[in-house]
Amino acid sequence: VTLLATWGAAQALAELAAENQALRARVAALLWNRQLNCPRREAIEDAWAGLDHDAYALLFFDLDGLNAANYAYGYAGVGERIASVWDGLRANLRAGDIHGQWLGGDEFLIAVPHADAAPLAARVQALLQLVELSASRVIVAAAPDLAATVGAAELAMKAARCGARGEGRRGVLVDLRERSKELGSA
Amino acid sequence: MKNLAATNDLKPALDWLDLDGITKTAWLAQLSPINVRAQAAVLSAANGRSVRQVLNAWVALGYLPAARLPLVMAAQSPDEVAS
Repeated sequence: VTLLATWGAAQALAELAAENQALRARVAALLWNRQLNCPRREAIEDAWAGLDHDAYALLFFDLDGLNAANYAYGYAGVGERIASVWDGLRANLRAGDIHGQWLGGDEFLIAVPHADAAPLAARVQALLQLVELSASRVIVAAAPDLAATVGAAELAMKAARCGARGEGRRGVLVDLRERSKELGSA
Repeated sequence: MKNLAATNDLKPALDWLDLDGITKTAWLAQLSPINVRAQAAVLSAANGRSVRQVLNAWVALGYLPAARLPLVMAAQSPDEVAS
């Protein structure tokens, strides 16, 4: 009877472990964007708390002309191109680095030690060029507050793009500041 | 002279921020005080300086108007509130 009870308990434990493993696999699958071959935003948010923020920089990039690219290559074609860029980048990432999709299909981020950020940004651009895509990118300091860090990056990117479009960088910046005040974040 | 030396010492540490063509002055002008402080806090920790020293260096380098310093110093980051 004792033997049977022990066997039953062991079997129950094994079933529990298998169930746990299956659950973990399902969660991991949900956190991974299979089409773009990279982690989703939720995975980034989960990992961010464990980052050594003082030592890290955030490389934030936004694909240029996504609509035109979708028209030229189709959604699946653009997805394959982005996936190939991540394949090429993964070899340059270290354990503990964070990477993935931020918003939609065109905003991505990578968190790496300060010294790695600029070389990695160049690598991203080179890999994008290979698949006939391009992106705007900025590098800012990784603060403990992920939303604030991304916000700091997005503001720089918007301003750089406004300037690039020749709308008059200074005037647009004033508008952004006013907008920030309206939103109560200034 | 001591402050100037500290600023020169910190400048390379502050200049790794790469904003794709926009100047640090323009970038900081857009950030809310709490976000300016958050960015300064990271650079301060990374360089073994206080937040105040980083902000003073930004002022000395012309990135941040001195008039914004009190607002930025008064802003508390969510991280600081939590701790």
